[in-house]
Formats: sequence, C-alpha cells, structure tokens
Amino acid sequence: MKKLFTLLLFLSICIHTLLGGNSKKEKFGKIPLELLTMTVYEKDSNAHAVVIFEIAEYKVKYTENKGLICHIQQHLRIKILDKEGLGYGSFEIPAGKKDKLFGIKGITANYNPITKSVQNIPYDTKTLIIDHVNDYFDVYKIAFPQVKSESVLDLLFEQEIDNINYLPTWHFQHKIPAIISEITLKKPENIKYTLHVGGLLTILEEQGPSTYERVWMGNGNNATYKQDEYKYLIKDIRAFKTEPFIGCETDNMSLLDFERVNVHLPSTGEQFKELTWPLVSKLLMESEHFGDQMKFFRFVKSELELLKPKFKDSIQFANLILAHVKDKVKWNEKFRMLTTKDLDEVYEEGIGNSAEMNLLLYSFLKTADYPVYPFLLSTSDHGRIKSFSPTLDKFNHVIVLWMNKDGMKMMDATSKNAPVGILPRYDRNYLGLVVGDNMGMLLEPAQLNNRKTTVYNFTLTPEGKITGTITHLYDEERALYKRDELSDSMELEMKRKIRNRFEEAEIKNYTVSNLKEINEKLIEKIEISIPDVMEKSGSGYLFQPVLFNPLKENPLEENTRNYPIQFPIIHHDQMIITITLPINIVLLKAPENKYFYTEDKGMEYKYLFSESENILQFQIDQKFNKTFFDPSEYKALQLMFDKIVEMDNQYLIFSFKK
Amino acid sequence: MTTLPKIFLSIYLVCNGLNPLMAVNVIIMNKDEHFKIKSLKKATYTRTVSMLVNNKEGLNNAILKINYSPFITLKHFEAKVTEAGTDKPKKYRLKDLEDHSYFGFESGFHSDIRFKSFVPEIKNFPAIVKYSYTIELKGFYTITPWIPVPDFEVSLIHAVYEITCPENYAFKTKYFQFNGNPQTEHIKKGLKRIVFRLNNFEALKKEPDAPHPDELFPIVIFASEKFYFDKYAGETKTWNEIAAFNQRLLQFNEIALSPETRRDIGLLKNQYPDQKELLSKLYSYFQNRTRYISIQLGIGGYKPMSPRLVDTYGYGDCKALSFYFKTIMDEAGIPSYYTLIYGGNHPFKLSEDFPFMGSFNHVVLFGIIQTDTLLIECTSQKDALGSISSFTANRSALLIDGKTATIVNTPMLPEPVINNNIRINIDSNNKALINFKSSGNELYQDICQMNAGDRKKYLKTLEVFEKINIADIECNAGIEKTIQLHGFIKNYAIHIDKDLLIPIFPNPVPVLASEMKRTMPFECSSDQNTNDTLVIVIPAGFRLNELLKGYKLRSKFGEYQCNFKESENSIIIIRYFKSKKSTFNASEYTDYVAFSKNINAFEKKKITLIKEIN
Repeated sequence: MKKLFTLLLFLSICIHTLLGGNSKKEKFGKIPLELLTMTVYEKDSNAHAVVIFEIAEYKVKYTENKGLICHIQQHLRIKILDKEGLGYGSFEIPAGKKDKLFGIKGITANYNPITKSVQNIPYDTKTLIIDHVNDYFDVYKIAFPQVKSESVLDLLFEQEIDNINYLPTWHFQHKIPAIISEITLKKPENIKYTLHVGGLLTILEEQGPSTYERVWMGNGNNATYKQDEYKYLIKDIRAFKTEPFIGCETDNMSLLDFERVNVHLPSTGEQFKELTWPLVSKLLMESEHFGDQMKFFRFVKSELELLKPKFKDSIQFANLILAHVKDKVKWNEKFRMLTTKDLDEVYEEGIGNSAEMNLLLYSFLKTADYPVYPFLLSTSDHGRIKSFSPTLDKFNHVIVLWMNKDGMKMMDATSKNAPVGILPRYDRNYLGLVVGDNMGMLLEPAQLNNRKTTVYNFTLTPEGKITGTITHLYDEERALYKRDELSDSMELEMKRKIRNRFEEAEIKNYTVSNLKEINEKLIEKIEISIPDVMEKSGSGYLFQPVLFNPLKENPLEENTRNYPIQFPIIHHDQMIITITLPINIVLLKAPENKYFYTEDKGMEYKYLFSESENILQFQIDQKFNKTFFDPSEYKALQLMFDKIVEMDNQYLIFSFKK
Repeated sequence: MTTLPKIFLSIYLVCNGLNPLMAVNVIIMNKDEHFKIKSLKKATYTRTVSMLVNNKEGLNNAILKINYSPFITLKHFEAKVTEAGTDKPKKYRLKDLEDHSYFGFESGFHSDIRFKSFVPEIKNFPAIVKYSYTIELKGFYTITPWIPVPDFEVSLIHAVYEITCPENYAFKTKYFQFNGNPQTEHIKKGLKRIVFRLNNFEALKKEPDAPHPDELFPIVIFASEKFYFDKYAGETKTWNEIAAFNQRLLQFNEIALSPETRRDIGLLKNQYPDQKELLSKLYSYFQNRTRYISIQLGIGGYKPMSPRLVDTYGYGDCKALSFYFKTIMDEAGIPSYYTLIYGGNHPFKLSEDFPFMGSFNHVVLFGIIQTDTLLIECTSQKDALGSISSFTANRSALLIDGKTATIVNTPMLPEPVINNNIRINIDSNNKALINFKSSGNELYQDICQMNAGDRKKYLKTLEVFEKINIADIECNAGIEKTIQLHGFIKNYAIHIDKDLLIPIFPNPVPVLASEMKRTMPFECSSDQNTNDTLVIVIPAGFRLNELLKGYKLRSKFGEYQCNFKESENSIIIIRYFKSKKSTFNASEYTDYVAFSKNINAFEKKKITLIKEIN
C-alpha cells in the first residue's frame, strides 16, 4: 500500500498559458466528466494512475521583512485508474524546517452514476498530519477523502522557502505516467540560476515576458526591479521504470535542478559571475569548511616525523600515510564535501566524515611534500556530474589526487581496504573536480584493468570424480571488493556456495593469501573433490566445464531499452580450466573456439579450447572495456549475453574406451 | 595500550562454563532490567547491559531503537564503547542519540510513536559495549516482557529482571523455555520485588528451517490485571474485562453513519432480502468507498477512528474499517462481532487462563449469516467476501460481544492442491517452447489482480516459473484460481552428436535440505500437494531411446512419485509430490536430507532422444 505520491520537489500553480500560448488555464476543482469515466490511459494500459498535469511556479522575490524568498505554488491533478492505484490518493510533501507550507486545497472528484455528474468532495485540512521527521525536515501528509478506483484528485498548495540558493528539484517523471509537467521560474533579473537537467526526455523551454515588481524598503521607500520568467515543459511523460545496469536512477529520471549562481548587488558593486568549474574550485578554497582546512597543521608535522619517512615521495610512504590516517580516524559513514569541525579536532576525536578524513590525508601528504589536490566527487548513488553543468551542490564527497611524474593516483581514506591508486566502488562515478588555487578542472579517475583470474586445475577420475584446486586471483579494484566482502565466516560462506552447486563436494583446504597485504593480489585457493560430476546420458557421459557460476540467464531480457547500460568499472574476468582425463576416457567432440565482441569492442568474449593427449584446456575471457553503453548498443550487448549463456552452459560428451 | 585479543573471548567463555569453540557474535556479560511500578499511572523501565561484540554480524545486537510517544519518555541514556586496540572508551549521552519519526520505515501512513536510535561506531572487533537507559511510562497496559537472549549466536553470562511494584499490584506470568524460579520478597511496607535470573546460556546456532525464535529462547511475559493508559483505566484479569475495555473504546458520541449512507444501506436491504446476498452487496459497497491507511494515534493505537469519520473520509486502519463495516452490518440487521486477532506468522495462542492484551495486532469481523459464521477481512479493497489467507487462518482470536469475550478459532485454509499441466515442444535451436497451465495456488488470486507487467515479474520470483521466459499470461481469479502462460527456456535441450538430452522437468522439486550438522528441531517447509502432468513432444526426426523408469518415495516427510509413458509422438510424465508442514527432531534431519537428495538426484536425470536414421 506504500504507493504514496511523494512530491520530492514541490511546486507551483496557477495555470498559465502553455507553450505557444495556446493552452488553457485549468481551474482548481473543475474536473471534466470524461476524465472521471476514463478507465484506461491509452498510452500506458498498465498504469494504475496517471498525472493529468503537474504545474508549478517558483517565484523568487524581494520582500520587505525577509529579503529574498521563493514563493512556490503547485497544482497537481491525478486520475486513479483502478484499485491498485488507490495508494496515489495519499500524498507526502517534504518541507524544510524553516519553510512554510500553506494554502493546501484538495478535491476528490467522483462520478455520480445516478445524476451522471461530478461530485466534488473537499479535502478537510483538519486531517493534515505534519510529521516532524528530524531536525531538518517535516513531511506534510495528506490523505484525500473518498478516493475510489475512478476518482480524480486535485491538489493545490503553496510554499515559502527561505534559502533561495537551491530551489526544490522539479521531477517531470514519476513511477506513473504524466500527461503534462510544467515548471515556471520567475526571478529578479540579477539573480542567476544554473539549470541541471536530468534524464533523457526533451524539455521544451520558453522565456516569458518580463515584468516590473515593486518592493517596500521601509521608511516609506520602495524599489522596482525587473522580474524574468522562464517555462520548462514536457508532455506525455512515460512512467519511470528501472532497468538492469541502470546506474543511479536519478541520472535517468527526467528532472530539473536550479542552483543559484550569484547576485549582482548594486549597493556593493559585486558583479554577477557565471558559475564555472574554476569558480567552484575558488569558492571551495575560500570556504572555512574546505580551503581553510588545507592549511599547515603543526600536529601533522610532528606525527609525520614519527612515521620516519624512509622512502620520501614514494608510493610506499604514501601508503604508510594513508594507513596512518585510517588507523587514527574512523569514518562515520557519512559522505560530505565539507568539514564540520577543524581537522585537529577530528584527529583528536578519532572520527570524521569523508571530507574530514580525506582533507586530513591531504594535509599529511602535502606536509610531506607530495603534489596532491583535493578531488571532489559525487558518489555512485548520488548522480553523475555533467561537464556542461558546473555545480557546487551536486558533489557529496572528496578524495585525494596525487599527480606525480608517472601520472595520477587517487586515494580515499574512507575505504578500509583500498591502498593508494585503488578506489572503492562508490567513488566510481565518471567525473570529479580537482580543487586548488587556479584549479577547477574535471577529470575522470583512470580506469584499471581490474582482472579476476580463476584457475581450475582438475583431474577427472574414471569414476567421474573431480579432484584439484580452484584458485581465484583478484587484482586492483576486484581485490578491494573481495577484501570488503570477506569476513570471519568467509570459509563457511565459500563452502556454502560450493555445496549449493555440488552437495557432495568435499573441501579439503581453503586458504586466503594477502588478505591484509592490500597492495598485493588477493588469492583464494580451494582444494576440492567432487564426486559424480558426469551425468550418464545416452551413449556417453556429460560434463559441464564451467562448473561454478555459469551464467544461467541473460540479464538483459527485455526487448527494448530506454536508458543507458552502465557498469561500475572496466573489468576482465578470465577463467583457465585445465582438466586431466583418465586414460580410458575420450572426448567425443571438441568444442569450437569462439570470439564475440560488440562493434567497438566495448565488450569482448573469447572461448578457446585446446587438447593435448589427455589434457583439456579452456581459456574463457570476458572483458568490459568501457563502462557506459548507449541504449542503441543494447541489442548487441543482449546478443553477447545470449552467447555467453550458451557457451557457459555447454556440455562436453565423453565416452569410455572399451 | 591495552587491547582485546581474541583469546580474551575464549578465556571468558571457559571461565563462565561456556563452550569456547562455539563461534558467537555476541556475549552478553550482564543484562540487568528493572521495571519499577510506582502506580498504575507511573512506572519506569531501566535496562543496563554490558556485552562483548565479537564481529560485524553481532553489531545488530548492540544497536538500540528506543520508542517514545506522548506517554513514554526517555529519561536517561549513557553508553561506552571500547574497541579492540584502544583503552579509551567512546562515550555517548542522550544528546548523541538520533531522533526519528517512523517516516520512511514502512510503518504505515502515520504513527505518533517515534524512536531514538543508538548505533555504536565500531570498526575494530571485538569491542565491549555498555549502555544503560531509563524510560518513564505515564500509564501502561502491562509489564515489559523479559527476553534475556535476543538472537541466535548470542551467549549470555548473567541476566536479571526485577519487577518492583505495590503489594497489591497483581499480574500473571507465562514462561517460554524458562524454568527458573522467580524470587519474591517484600522490600518495604507496601512494596514487593520479584526477581528472575538466567545464567550461562550458551548461544544457539542459526540453522535453516529452525522453529520460530519464540519457541527456542527463554522468554517471560506478564499480563497485568489492572491498567491505566491515556485517561482510560481498566481491569484485564479476564478476557471479558479485556472485551469490556475494547467495547469502551468503540463508544463514540456521534451518529455513526451519514443519512446518505443509511439511505444506501436501506436501499440495498430492500433490494436484497436474502441475507447472504445482502452481505455480499454491502461488502462491495464498503470496499468501493474505503481504502486502508494505517494511522496509529493515541491510546497506544487501540482506539479506532470513529465510523462517522470513516464514512466521511473513506479511509481508516484495520480497527476503523472493521468497526465501520460492523456499523454498516448493524444498520442492515446482520449480526457481526469486532474480533481481535494476530495477523501474520507465528500467532500467539490464546488461553483461557492467561488474558493478555499484547496478543493481538489486527482486527477482523466475524459475521453470522443464518447459521454460518464468516471471517470478514476489512482492509482489502479487492478480496472476495469471506476469503481467508494465511495471514489470519488457523488461529485463535478474541470475539467481542459487548462486554463478553469468546475465544474462537479461525478457519483452516483448505489443503492446497496445485495441478500443473505442461506441454513442451523443443525447437531446432534446443529451445523449449512451454505452455504451462497451473491451478490451485492461493497466490494466483493476487497475481490475477496485477497488471501484465507486474504479473510477469512476480511469477519469475516463484521457484516453479523462475527458469521460464514468460511471453504472455492469462489469468482466471475464479474459484479454481488458474493461470496459463506461454514461454520458453533457451538451451533447454542439449544436442550432442546424434542425441538430444532433455531435462525431465522445467520446474524441478527444489532442494529441500542440505547436509549439515543439525542441533535444532526443524520444520518441513510447507504443505504441498502438487500434481504435474507434463507432455514432451518428441521433435520430428527423433525417437525415444529408452523410457526412464518411474520412481517412488514415501517417508514421514512426504510422498513422491513420478511415472513415464510414451504416447504417439510424445512422452507423458506424471509426478505427484506431497509434503506436510510439521516439526521434526534434529536427529531426523539426516533422513530428511536423504529424502531431499533422492528426489533431487532422480530429477537431475535427462530423457535421451536419438536421431532417427532414414
């Protein structure tokens, strides 16, 4: 039943002429009869409800008492289409603690079959629930009255926001389809916003007529200022439906963010500045929660001396510093791009957010004369940074970039198991920003090979039993991920996985090498014997060489794809299988070698087989050479996975020599 | 610097008579709880715990979530956490706790209960966590239950639960897996103290299919004979008194139904003189004008919204909707009873001698039509009248008739019989084209109400269909509850040389149990009664090599039978599998594994077809 319509962005209102000036103003509570009798939304017959329109106005204005505020009005109309859609009869509207939400009006319109007319039931504001969720925001909960499976709901509300620097995000797209979604921004001409566009749908944009507004300044004075107007509209918006390998959902949902750039204040003479990446860097360098924390700290110098640098400017010493910072300060699991405390305090308390930990790491490295810079990121679940859309608001994390003669290396003190040059998965999100004096450039952290090699070395007995070893070698970020996964119960876990596949498997020995040596490859070795791996069938015996984790199903099974396909990292899975056969067994038919790839070799798959006397050898390579595939490449990828399913699940057939 | 090496854990366990070889997540060294009753209107509950958290898995047992409301105040909190490798504990106070509403925690639309949370920051294990907190209750229904061991893989050295109350404060006690004798003493004039103790409880290992934790861990629950809460005072010595209290909560000073609703009911009554038919129409009328929204406000969520408000707004929680429909039935002259019940798995069994307010989490109606009784679920806008699900079936419930209570049993669910008819054609690419018709599964009713996209997704989560790529589904939500689907499985058959190998089933019986050393009783997963008729069409140009032999297995865990026959150009496979939900001893587990393995081994076989040579 948790299908409430959460207005993650809230907005506005009274209806204006739509683009081109040919659409009509919708009156609150005036519901056309044909909307009530509609039972299916033709453009999406699976929809349980549809947004008829969602129209908002953000008006940033000067006020006598509060200075600049944003007044928001929003009008939303939803049609319920069946009983599954009844959950859309309740709304949850978040609002900042300092923001006011008022003027709530609601109507449930139902069809009266006796009079064949519309019956409007007003929302009773006495039933409004305000949930004080935490110190930062409340949620206004609105349950519409008498909602039925054919109802139409009309909701109107206003909001006043103090902080005009970041206006609420406008989501054009929801889990249900929408016919019209429109946002109008009105603002004094000297206040500029950068627009961040999300999703793939085309937003129609139009500049409206400017007007002049008057504001009382006190003492009988008033001032006039010019108000600009912009409209943004999408029609016929499909319901947002997630897809496999979609990355961060908010990167794909159509939305609009407004980030204030700066203000031209005639009184101070400050000039408007376009938000650029160098400006973002400059603003951070001037911040007491960022740049001011990059200063020299006496305690850092004395602690460094204790570390007794033997390999100055070396990767070994950088690793030593990184380990020292991780040892001294625990991450509080919060991603932040700004500090909340001075770094000496953080060091003393031994706990800090991601900015505090990594700016501390920066200070240590800088004091040790490493050419390092803070590197600003948006984590992988937080949406991507777009090069064409400079922002300060969209970052949530900072790590450290070391530029040396051999190139660049990144490091992140929040990851327990990541050495210098290796990044945890949450740091992999395309672009980040190098911050520093005269900096402000975007970079994508270099991708590594990230190889996982699995070596099966098996001997097959005449009784159909396999004995031998399985060795997994994890390199670079694959090693980090695996180390993060491993726990005290890793042996039990591994045994459970193997026994899920082969119940009778006997695991004789299990070792993990280099678990703590985070700069080294992680090696997992299993000595195993499995009885009855061959199935008697017809005239021969069947054996599946990809014994463990064959890809059973194509993960891309849908016929169509709306959004790009994204993988977190470039990676290479290699499997080398060696099987020594008993002398009385012969392979009836050798499998064919195969090599498949997508047009640009973004993905490759190679299957090589060789046979020498009684030894069979397979080498299977699966490579993802890029992380981002356009929807137009979907079919090719789908085909690749189809072939992998086929190859992974193929059997060899043996017969016994007589 | 002092550290907490792993050996510490072993020494500690040995010294306290516990097995050091047992890998535990947590050792509770001391757990001290004190429920202090000053009067019916005021009590405090204090808990002081020191524990050794051995690993990340044990961390959950150190996390606290302390509820509070207008009637419960958290008065005091302090905690200390000492991690391995440090001698300096990290200290926490009340101000360090995070405050939350239940928004975003799937608790329904709204509740006035909030919580404060304590999540110790531990990076290096083992760690010693000590905490203490006190809550003050302005009125309460009963004494907080005692659950000294909260989880699997948790050992306990010493726990004590102390209740201090006025001499005349009476309550009943019920023990689960606890046979200690509480000590009662008079501490000063008019006050008594009852103390429960538990020492050296060895951790229980988590094992699959184990009975519910309530049947494994020591638990003591208390049923007070009197209470005061939110201006309501009452007695709960008997079920009748609990009924009388609930009856009081159903009193409202307003006319229950609007004139329009009364008129509608009157019209229906005139139109449908037969009570059964009338009830069915009333239920549809009710379903069409209400929806379920959980709003829990005041008096601990016991008092429903008034029927008049439900009538006006068209929504309510289970109490409100049930009482509203009862009001409608009253208006129509059909008797019904407001009935308290536990919805979900593992219901609390009601007994005459232990009237307990905490036995319920849900409300339904019992309707009486002529001589038939009918359980009426009022929170669904879609289910048919009288339809019953595992949520409320086969359990005791408390039927309230004015000030009188009766313990009644809800109906058992009929034993499900699932019939599957499957036809498979193998194409030239070894793909199985599948036509699958299935009936009798309780879930199909819900599936039929989903749209096509959701149906497909849901079916893929069921083991029986998980391998099939579903192309289309037809649904019939009638009495038979039937679904029919068309789909395919790629690479189903294996083409080797001249042989074509075909698995026996696209829906094999899942592995029921895997080998392990069992220490606990286990529950056979569920009642199953499945009949499959599978037809595999022999592709042109092939012939059956040899008909597989049938297989039959019967044991206390169930019955399995599978037979094959060849008919014209097809192989017909008839399978029957029946298992009964019940609990067995740990010593029987080996037999259960063997039962599962034998079925599994049989079902792994493949049918071999041979290419015909012209």
